[in-house]
Amino acid sequence: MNILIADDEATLRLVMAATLKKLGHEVTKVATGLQAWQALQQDYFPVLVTDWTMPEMDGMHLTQMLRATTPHDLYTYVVMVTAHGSREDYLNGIRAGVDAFLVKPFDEALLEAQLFIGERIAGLQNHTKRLESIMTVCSYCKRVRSEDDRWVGMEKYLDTTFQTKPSHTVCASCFTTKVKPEMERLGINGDHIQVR
Amino acid sequence: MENRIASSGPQRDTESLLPALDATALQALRELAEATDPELFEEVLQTYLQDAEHHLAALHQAADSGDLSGMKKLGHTLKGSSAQVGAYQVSTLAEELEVLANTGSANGAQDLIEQIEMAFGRTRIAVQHQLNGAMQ
Repeated sequence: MNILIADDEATLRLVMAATLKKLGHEVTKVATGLQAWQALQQDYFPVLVTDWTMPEMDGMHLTQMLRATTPHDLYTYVVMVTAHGSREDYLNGIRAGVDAFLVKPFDEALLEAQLFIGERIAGLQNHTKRLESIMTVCSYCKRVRSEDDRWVGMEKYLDTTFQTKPSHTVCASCFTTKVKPEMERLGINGDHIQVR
Repeated sequence: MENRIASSGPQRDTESLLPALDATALQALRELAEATDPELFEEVLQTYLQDAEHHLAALHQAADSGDLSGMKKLGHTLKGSSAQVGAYQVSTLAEELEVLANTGSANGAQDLIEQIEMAFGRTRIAVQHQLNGAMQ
């Protein structure tokens, strides 16, 4: 993965960059929140590893900007590396859009675990967004074109694509025009049934 | 931590309880350098010394002008970078300064900064020793 590191401390940038390279990733390093923001506008990074306290723009503000605008229309997993530690700080960070925290000095195994999760989350988010943007529906039969280029019913599409099984009911219009006449044909009294 | 704060004074237990430069952290840095870039070990330690000296000078200025916000930020920064290289004496004292500045009081700040300076002196000697060893 191409990972962006934002930290004003050169020592931490060096150690973090070397660790990420050792784990097989490409790295871009910046020293301020503003530089990170500019880098995020220019290129897509599946993972951002950022310090909290930085000049010009801190890690919280950077994350809020990222979540508010979603550059490149793709998800970036945010790992905040910090020496902060109150419960309130963590909650505020999560609310701002931070996905995970690492405490300085960071542990390599925990960082690697976060990168696995980050790759998975960013991949899923981007996959879903891509599917949503390309969902093609037939204007007449309302079937949907699946990823393997077949026309399938909406239910099957939802099930195979999103593992979602819709609940079933009958709308008021279909009950009046389709179900009730069928019940009458079969000699069943459906007057007591109420449909919203 | 509480005991250390309570026994304030120039010869507190920070020095006896914590290493000036932690052997485990150094070993981890050495292994990282071996796996990535042989010059990394030296580069990280040199960078730490330069940055910490700069932060200490800024800390003195902040303390002289009663700048609590500056002391808090610098204490925080010094805490993080020192912990990363295993300079735990400096890191622990810097954290104490950050906590103190956060209370809104500068009482005892000068004393703490002097202790950070002394701890950093010990760390610098330990780093120089490591660097001399690395260059031989």
